[in-house]
Amino acid sequence: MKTNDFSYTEFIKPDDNSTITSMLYDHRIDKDENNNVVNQKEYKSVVSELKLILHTAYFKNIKGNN
Amino acid sequence: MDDLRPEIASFGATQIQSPHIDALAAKGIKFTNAYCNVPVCGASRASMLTGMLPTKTRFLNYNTFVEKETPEAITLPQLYKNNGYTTISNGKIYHHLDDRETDWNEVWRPYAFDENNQGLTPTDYWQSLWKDYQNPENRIEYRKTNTGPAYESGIVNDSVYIDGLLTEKVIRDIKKLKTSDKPFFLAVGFISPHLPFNAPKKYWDLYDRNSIKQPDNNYVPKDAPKMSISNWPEMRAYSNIPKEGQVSDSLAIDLIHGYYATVSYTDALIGKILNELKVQELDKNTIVILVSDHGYNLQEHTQWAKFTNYNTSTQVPLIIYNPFSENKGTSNALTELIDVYPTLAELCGLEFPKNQLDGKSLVSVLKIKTPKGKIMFLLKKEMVSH
Repeated sequence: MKTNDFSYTEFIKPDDNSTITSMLYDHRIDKDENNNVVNQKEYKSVVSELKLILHTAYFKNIKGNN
Repeated sequence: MDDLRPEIASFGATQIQSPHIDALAAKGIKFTNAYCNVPVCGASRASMLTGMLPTKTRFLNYNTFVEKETPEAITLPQLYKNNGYTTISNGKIYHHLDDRETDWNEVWRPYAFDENNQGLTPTDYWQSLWKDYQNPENRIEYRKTNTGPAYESGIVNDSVYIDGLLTEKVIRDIKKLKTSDKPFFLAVGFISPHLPFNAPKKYWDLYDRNSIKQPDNNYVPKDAPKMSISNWPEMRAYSNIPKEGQVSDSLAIDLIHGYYATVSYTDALIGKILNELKVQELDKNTIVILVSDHGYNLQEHTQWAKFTNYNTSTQVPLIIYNPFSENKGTSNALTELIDVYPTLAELCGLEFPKNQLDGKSLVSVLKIKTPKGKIMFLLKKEMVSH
């Protein structure tokens, strides 16, 4: 997903929807996406916020269209 | 357009020569923060033209079939047709020539409907020759092996390559539509700058090879998941590209040169079409939208082609010129290709289908000086590419 400040990606196993790995790029300081900060402490709250939004949208999407 | 990232002078890529697209951008609104919802052609086109997001089960691959995946959807061209517009699909619009034929009054692609002696359907015939090399040695190789080099500097004029033929057809259409009393929805699907980067030599000559640079970030991002990096199978299918490992610096420069040349060639063709609209005085009441199905990698993060989750794959140029509006300039609002459908429908005063559209019309965004944008989503399946 893309917000004004970030791009956040989760790679998900299709069979059980579990997250394999993820990445977060801070477009405010890293427009070219050269540094994945998903595991850096100072982004912890950003990651939880984006994760929640992404999961809500993803699961709503699945439910709505299956 | 196919595979066009915002590699256009008016979008900040000042090394590119794209005067006609830049002129259109200057007259209209350009969206500098526009994204596709899935970075592969067939799926992205299906999503844009139905106004519906991809999900876990639909719009996932290059060979998406709208009719099979969303048979109930009222597509954008269908909406126009239902409202009395003449709708014409020229070139590559849906991935499949025979997808949703009923959306259109006419479906046309260069060569597809010519007689062929192999008993092929128009779709298969087009599929067999869209990599239309013109240099004799490349033509022979393509015929023998069904592939060829990733680029070609052709000793031909503008009308010979497949997009040149497309442009001539579109110009004929504009002349015809001028005499019709019906409004029209005319879709022009350039295959360029999709691989192979085939362009007439004069567009290669616009660029000094010595001034072409590889990207600064030709490396895997720090701490990036391995699976986020594409091995670009699409590019590797061409005969002069190694099957594994990186391309040489010299080949990288040639590929980037070829992409630039192909963008400039297409820009010139767009100029011809916009000029014909003007000659026929249809520019005064025709909304023009220029958009690409997704972005492209030119060796950023070691990658070529598309189908990754990086910005280079997902960001697209989007320009909307509305002759009835005083608004022009740049919008940095976060926008996505599913917004195209409701935007065009609202601009033309067409009623939206109910419970279908996932996007938002940009018409109100255009009126706000500092739009905030929103969050957008994209979804992608495995690393298959086209």
